[in-house]
Amino acid sequence: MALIQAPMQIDVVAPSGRLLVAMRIAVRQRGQVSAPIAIKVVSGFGQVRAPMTIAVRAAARVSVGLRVTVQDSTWSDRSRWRLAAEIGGQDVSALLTGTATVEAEEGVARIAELSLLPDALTVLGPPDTWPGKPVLLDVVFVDAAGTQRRRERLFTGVVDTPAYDPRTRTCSVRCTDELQQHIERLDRAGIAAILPGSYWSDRVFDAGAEPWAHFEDRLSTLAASYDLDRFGAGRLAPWDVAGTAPDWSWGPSQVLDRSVRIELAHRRAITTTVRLTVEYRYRRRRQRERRYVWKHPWTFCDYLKKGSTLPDKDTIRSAAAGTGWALKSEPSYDLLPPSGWIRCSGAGLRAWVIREDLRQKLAVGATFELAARFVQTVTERYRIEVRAPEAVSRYGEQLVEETWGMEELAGDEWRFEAGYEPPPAGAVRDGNGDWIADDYDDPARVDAIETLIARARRRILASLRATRVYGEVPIEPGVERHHVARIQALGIDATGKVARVRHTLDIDAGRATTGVEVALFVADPAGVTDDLVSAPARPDTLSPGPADTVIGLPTHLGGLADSPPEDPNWDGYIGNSTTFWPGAPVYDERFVVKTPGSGADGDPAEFEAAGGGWIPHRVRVPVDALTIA
Amino acid sequence: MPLTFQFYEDSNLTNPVGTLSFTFESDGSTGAIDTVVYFGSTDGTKTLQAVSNPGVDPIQVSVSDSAPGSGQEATAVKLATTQAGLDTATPGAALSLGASISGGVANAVAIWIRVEPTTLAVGTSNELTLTTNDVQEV
Repeated sequence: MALIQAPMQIDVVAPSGRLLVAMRIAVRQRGQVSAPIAIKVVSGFGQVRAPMTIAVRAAARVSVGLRVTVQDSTWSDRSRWRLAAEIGGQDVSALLTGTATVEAEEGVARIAELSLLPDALTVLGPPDTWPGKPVLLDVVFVDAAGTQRRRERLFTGVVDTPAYDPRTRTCSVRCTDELQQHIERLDRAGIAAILPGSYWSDRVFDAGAEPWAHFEDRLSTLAASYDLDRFGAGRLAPWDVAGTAPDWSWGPSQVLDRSVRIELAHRRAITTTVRLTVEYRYRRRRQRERRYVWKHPWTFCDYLKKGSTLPDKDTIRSAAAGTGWALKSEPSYDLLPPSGWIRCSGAGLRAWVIREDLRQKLAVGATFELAARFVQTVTERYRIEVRAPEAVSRYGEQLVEETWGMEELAGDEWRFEAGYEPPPAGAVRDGNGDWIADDYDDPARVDAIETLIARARRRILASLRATRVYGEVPIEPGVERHHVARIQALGIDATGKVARVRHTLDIDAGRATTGVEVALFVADPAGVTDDLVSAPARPDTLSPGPADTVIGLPTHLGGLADSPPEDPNWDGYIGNSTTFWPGAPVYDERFVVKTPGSGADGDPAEFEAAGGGWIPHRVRVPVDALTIA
Repeated sequence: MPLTFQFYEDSNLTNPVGTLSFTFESDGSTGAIDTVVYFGSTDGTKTLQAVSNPGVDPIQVSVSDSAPGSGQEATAVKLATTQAGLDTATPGAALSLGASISGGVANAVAIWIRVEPTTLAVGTSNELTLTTNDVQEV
């Protein structure tokens, strides 16, 4: 009996992705799919079993069409045209009816609206399946023979909202260029990249904002618009086009009669000045260290002559440690002299005898250092006036005030965790001797203030381009919102950035027009130059001093002829003379250490940048050409 | 089952390409137009291979012309995996993408396309197609 093995592969391939068209069974020695067959012959007869794996995989080609159009460069006739539309890859040009419009306004999605004949249901399927299908809309200019001369894109986008009227079986389709989705596909770095020169601060904007909101935040710091062109490509277009040669220029012979209108800016809607009050509040950590010095007021000879009680070292240390402040190091003590002969002036030699253990216990002087930590809330206030002088001269001061607050307050406590610790790294010495460490984020402060200044600039400039001139011309598919256009008709001559484009193509009437609205800056030019957007310098927040970090502890002795009544508020050493004067007060012996506390340095402090005055920031107004004759 | 591998407009594989349109002026002022598409699948469990010899034969992208001799020719198109590669690519030549392509956004392959019309006769040519050889997903 022998074991026979033969790898077998069976491939079933459907070349076109349809159900089985052809089947090929190949038995090979090598292959990707194998089915081992074991044949075992027992006693001359039996069953032969062969386990097989049959994989059926779709095979196809992945394709995408290329359309190459060559336009007649010399063709300018707009009178003969047809509309070409593609929805979901299907050509629906022949199904278009009524009037098609494409509207593109600054800062919003380009919208196309189409009407389709009932056969659209056959070509495209039920309308509820249309949303999201890609849409291309072109206008094709033809010659008298109907031959295509130019084909121009009007719209690139997707179906947004289809509508179906079952009575007439007609469909209308609202399409969008998906500006918002275009942005939402970007990450934050991508958004910053398409908006060069924009500002952003997490102290001004929501750090967790979705991409669209983040995009709007950044755009709010630029005097520019961001739109998708007719091919769906993003374009950042500065508002300042003064002096730029127009991309389009239409005279009275091209601008359609009665289409011209002008809308002048309302003074009430204009902003010439934004006063920003920015408060930056942060936690200042203070480490206060004080050196205490106590010394018995008498010389040793006086001590021998008059005698007094003395504090022991433990009493002094306990008093120091009992303050609540941390002992920076162990106190150092001055001791009585050891036993021996002492020479005092006028008294000759005297024998001085003291037990050494007692001498080591008593102190005639002590020095020690105590330290404490506390926090202070510091507020820096910046008053910035963003102002367009050229607009003020035209419209008067139109003032808006904004107040912004930012905080870096990590907590209101800061203590030693386990005994004395040195000041934190980076701490600096205040004028009053404290070590201070600020929870200060200067890049964040700068970002925030610059962002606010940039926003204010845009706010002013946006209000100053509210003057609009509108005119209609025979269809010009190439007009974009990032273009500059000049409209001359009915005594108006205006050149400005295109703010709105509306193509209207009436298929039944054969009429196709493009309405163009230009935005115009209006102000009195006075040669003002823009100030750079930059945050003002910080105010000086350090104390002027002087530093008084050494505290001398006094000595109060009772039992003397001139001893005053005891005062419970005394600090230092309170003891008694050992030669009592009759009737003199006797004090309760003790050693008292008082700490200065935080005082006013623990209270909130406020500092004004530039001495509290308004820091000027000038905005130049680009003045567009506008003549009304 | 349809293939999940497609051509996309973006590297995140969110916008499938419908038709790639290129427009030129008849006076030749437009010059060549470069664009990029991304070939891949959002399904990370899929791998694409050539049917002819899976895992061995290359997956190829080529330009097919359904009407040679009229309109634009396949030689109007160059293909490369980088924009710089377009400069040295042979007009009309197929582009090899390797023996297999894994699914998932990170594995999408950029395909740069440069179109320069072979004729500047006014009109629109729809006869060119960017297509792969027979492929299958495993």
